[in-house]
This record gives sequence, C-alpha cells and structure tokens, in this order.
Amino acid sequence: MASQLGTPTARYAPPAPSTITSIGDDLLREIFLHLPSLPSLVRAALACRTFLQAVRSSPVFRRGFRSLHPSPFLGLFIESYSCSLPSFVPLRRRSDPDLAAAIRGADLFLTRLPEDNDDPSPGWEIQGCQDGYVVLLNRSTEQIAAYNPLTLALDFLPPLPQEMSRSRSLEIHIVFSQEGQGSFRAVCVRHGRSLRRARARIAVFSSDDRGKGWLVMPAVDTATPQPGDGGVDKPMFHTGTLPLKEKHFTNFRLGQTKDGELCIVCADDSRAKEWTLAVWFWRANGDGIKRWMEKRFPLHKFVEFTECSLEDHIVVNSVAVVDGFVYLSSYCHASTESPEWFLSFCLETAELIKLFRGTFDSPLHPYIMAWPPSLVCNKSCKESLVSDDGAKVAEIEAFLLLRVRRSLSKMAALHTELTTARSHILRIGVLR
Amino acid sequence: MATREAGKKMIMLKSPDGMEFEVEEAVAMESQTIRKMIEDDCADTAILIPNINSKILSRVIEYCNKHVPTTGATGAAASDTVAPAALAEDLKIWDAEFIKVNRATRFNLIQAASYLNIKGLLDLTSQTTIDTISDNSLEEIRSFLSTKNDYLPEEEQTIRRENQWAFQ
Repeated sequence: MASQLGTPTARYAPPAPSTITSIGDDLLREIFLHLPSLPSLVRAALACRTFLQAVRSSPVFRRGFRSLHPSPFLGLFIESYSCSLPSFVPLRRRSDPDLAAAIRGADLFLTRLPEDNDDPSPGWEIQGCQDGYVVLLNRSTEQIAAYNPLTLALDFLPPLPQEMSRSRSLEIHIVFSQEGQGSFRAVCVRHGRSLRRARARIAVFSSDDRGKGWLVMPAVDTATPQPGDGGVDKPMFHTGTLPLKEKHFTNFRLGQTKDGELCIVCADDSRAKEWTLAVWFWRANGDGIKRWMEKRFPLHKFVEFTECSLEDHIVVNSVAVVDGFVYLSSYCHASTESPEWFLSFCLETAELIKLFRGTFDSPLHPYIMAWPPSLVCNKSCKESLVSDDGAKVAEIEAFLLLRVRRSLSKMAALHTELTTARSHILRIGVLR
Repeated sequence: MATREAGKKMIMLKSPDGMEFEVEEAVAMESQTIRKMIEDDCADTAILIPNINSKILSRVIEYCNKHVPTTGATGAAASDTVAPAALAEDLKIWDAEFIKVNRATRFNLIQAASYLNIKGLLDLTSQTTIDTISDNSLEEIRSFLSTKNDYLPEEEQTIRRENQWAFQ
C-alpha cells in the first residue's frame, strides 16, 4: 500500500497552474523575494491587482524583503551656499536597470517646490532626508516643505510659532510611523545657548491634527554645568545613557539599524593613529534590559580601502545613518593628491562601498528610497496598523531619531529630555 | 530508470495519474517534505504525490538526481576526481539547460518545488521568472507573466500618480 504525502495545506495550490496569478500569493511572494531591489519590486508588484495585493497584505514579506534588499541609496543632495536649491548627484549602477529607472523618473531637481519670486536667495535649504521625504526650509518665506521626489507628494507644514522661528540653530525632522500612511509628525528643535546654559525647545506637529498646528514644549536645559567644569561644552552623561569617556568625539549621528533599533554613530576626529568609528547599539543583552552597547571599527580598514596612507591623516566624517548603513565622507588631511570618497559602511557586515569620488565640503544628504504607500497598505488595513504594538514602539524610536550636531552635552541631556517629550507626544496620540 | 548499485535503498514515487517512479531514497530526500516523512517513519516503500502530474514529477526527479551528490546527503558519493568549482560550474550549465521550458511548465515546477520543499529548484525556477521581467516596462512584465492590467480606473490613477517613474 502506498502512503500519501500529508494533505497539502499551506503549500497546496490547485494543480496545473498556467498563469502566474494562479500559483497563489505565498509562491508569488517567494518569487518576488528574488527580485534584486526595491525599485524592481515596485515595478513587478504594480503589474496587476493580484501582485499588488500579495505585497500589500503581508508585513512578513515586506520585512523579509527589506532584510534581503535594503532600501536603495539613490544619490546625494549637496547643498550649495551660492544656489537657491540643492543639487543632486545620482548613483550610477549599470547592474540594476530598475534602480536607474527610479533615479531617472524621480523629480530630484525638486521642481515642484514653489518658485522664488524676484529674489532667488536664500532659497530652499535641506533639513534632512527621511523616509523618502526631503524636508526643506525656506528662511526668507519661512515655509517648511516635505517633498517626496519619487511619489511627488508635497506637503507644507504650518509656519513655526513665534518662539521657535527666527533662529539659525533650527532643526526640523519628519517622523513617519512605521509603514506610514502619509501621516507623519514633524519635530522642530531650536537650540539656544548663553554663557552658562544650553537650552533646547521642541515643537511637534502632527499631520493628522493639522488644526492644532505646532505644539510647543517647555524649554529644557540641555546641559547642567557643575562648578569648575569649564562651561557647557564638557560632556555630561547621565548614568544609563551613553558610556562615553573620551572628549574628542563630535559629529554624532543617530539612526537605526537594519532591524529598526536605535544606534548612534560617531567618527572620532582626533586624527590620532588609533582613530575609530564608534557605534553604540541600543540592544538588550542576556538580562533582557536594553543598554548602549559599544562597538568600534578601526581606522586601518578605511585607510586601506580609500587608498590613503596613515601619514596622510585620513579624516572620515559620518554624514548619516539609515537602516543599518553609515554614510561617510573621507578626505586626507595631509595630501591633496590622495583620493577622497563618499562611502557607505554596513554596520552588520562591516562592508565598505565607494559611492562617489570627489571632494565634498558642503552639507551632504544621502537620499534613500522609501517604500511607496501603494505597496505598503491600503486604507482598509490601516486599523490593524494602529493597534500594532510594534508600530507604536517603532514610532517612539523614530522620534528619538533626532540628530544632534553641535555638542555632546546636548546629546546627553536630550536623551533624558526626549523621554519626557515622547511621553507627551504619545499622550497627544492617545487623547486624539 | 537507470539501474542502481546494489544496497542502495529505493523508494517508489507515484503521481496521481498512475505513473510510478523508482528512485534512490537519497534522491527522494532532496525534497524536505519527503525527507521529513521518511525520517518520521511515516513512509512506506511507495509514496503518492497527490498534486503533481507525471510529466512534472519526472522533471523534478531529474533535477534531484542531478543535484543529489553535491548537496551532502550522500557525502562520500561526491566525486573526488572533479574539483568542486568545476562541479558547480557544470551544475550551473545543466540547470540553465534544465529550465528551458515553457511558462506553464515553469509555473508547475515552481509549485512542485514549493510543495515538495526543494530549495534549489524553487530558487532556480523563481530566479528564472524574475530574470524575464527585470528591466522591462509594466506592459512587458504583464506579457511575460501572462497577467493583465485589471485595475479599476480610479485605482490605476492613484497608482500611476504615486509611482510615475515606474510607468515610464
């Protein structure tokens, strides 16, 4: 007597499919995992409703695809002090035609931004790129725009309240909830400092509640100077925050690892021979309690890779941290002939990739493609997202993605202050 | 089927259209689904594969036969005289020939590979499908995958608006 293979269940589909749509969503997704990149997935998924639904309906598939194919770097916005718009340098990779199509088809000249009238200066200034959006501020008109050059979605934020505007030291960040449905929160940080104090004021705007406009939080001290410590620039770290001893760390970048956890990256610019790229991961160890875990990547890796020598005094600056990749620019301090690079560094595999060769001396903003809303979810499954604890957690962490540029002390204190601020924000979310 | 060396355990695979295939157990165990069945002692000497016809099943067995020595299941059976790199290269060429089938057969193979859980075959069939659509317009993708544009007009409008670059 012959035994029979178990009743086909999950893996079962009716025999003899003659078209791809009849092989079932699970198999379709299995095939889609073999696509080389997000742009190729977008193209394939848009072919018909069955394909699109197969991608939309499965967060598990999207997680799997993301872990195999990180969202691609499309190019670099370079700010120019003499132009009224940033310029864009596209990544050129012949190996992925769909990626090239995305670059070719995106409005990377930012043509949809309102035009300047007769006065073209100072124009639009990039605040940062997040979740596919470029956040821009026009200091003369005080307009704030969030623009996605791929989906062509353009959103204007209400003008900043009096107490936030009129400051050079403004930072505006846009935070989408995980797989955001176009709804976002904007966070504006205004730094101020006097002789003995450094203060920050944070304002939050929610796109779901436009009527309320910006909600301004009380100002917070970002440094608590102690008698005789030499002023506000000395780093002060609270117990349980970043275990940092060295003073020569500047230029911190906050970002997320591939699995969505918070991380901080810092290039040590002491130009000492023991130069390192320091990374702190917000991770749980054996006891399940999350802490900052430090990992260092030594200089010689970068020296060999960039064809500099140690005598050249290579300087590597971190520009941004996105989805587990650190974007860096390198230059040789001592030699004008050594090549200078814009690089990406994978935190997981420690792989370095040369993206551009060139000298970059103005602010840089790597642009990384985001998943288009049509592939992520439709309105009918929005409710399930709202109740998703994971999404909530990701949102809190995303809020913590504030970049702190200027000093260590702000960094340390903001960590604590943000904890308060984010609970405020969550409360707003609950009350709404 | 080719004659087998003595002492090798054989197993019978039956397709629903009544064909029987005698294969080495090691070859059948390329399928994780069958392997589990054998390891759990749920298999007799004959196993009915319920939803794969004889034409597809014979191709699947052909694939497993070719791939069995290199995947470690039979360990020492791998040839000592041929360098592993050359062997892998040979397999690649063989795979490329093997997958030169029409679209319907390929979709059937995908389904069989998934049901029988044969990772190598699933990767091969999926990758081949993907290769046919890469660097093509949406219209071409639709024709290669024999699917059609079935969006409602308003749906299509939204999708086009949000993903203009993908339609160019």
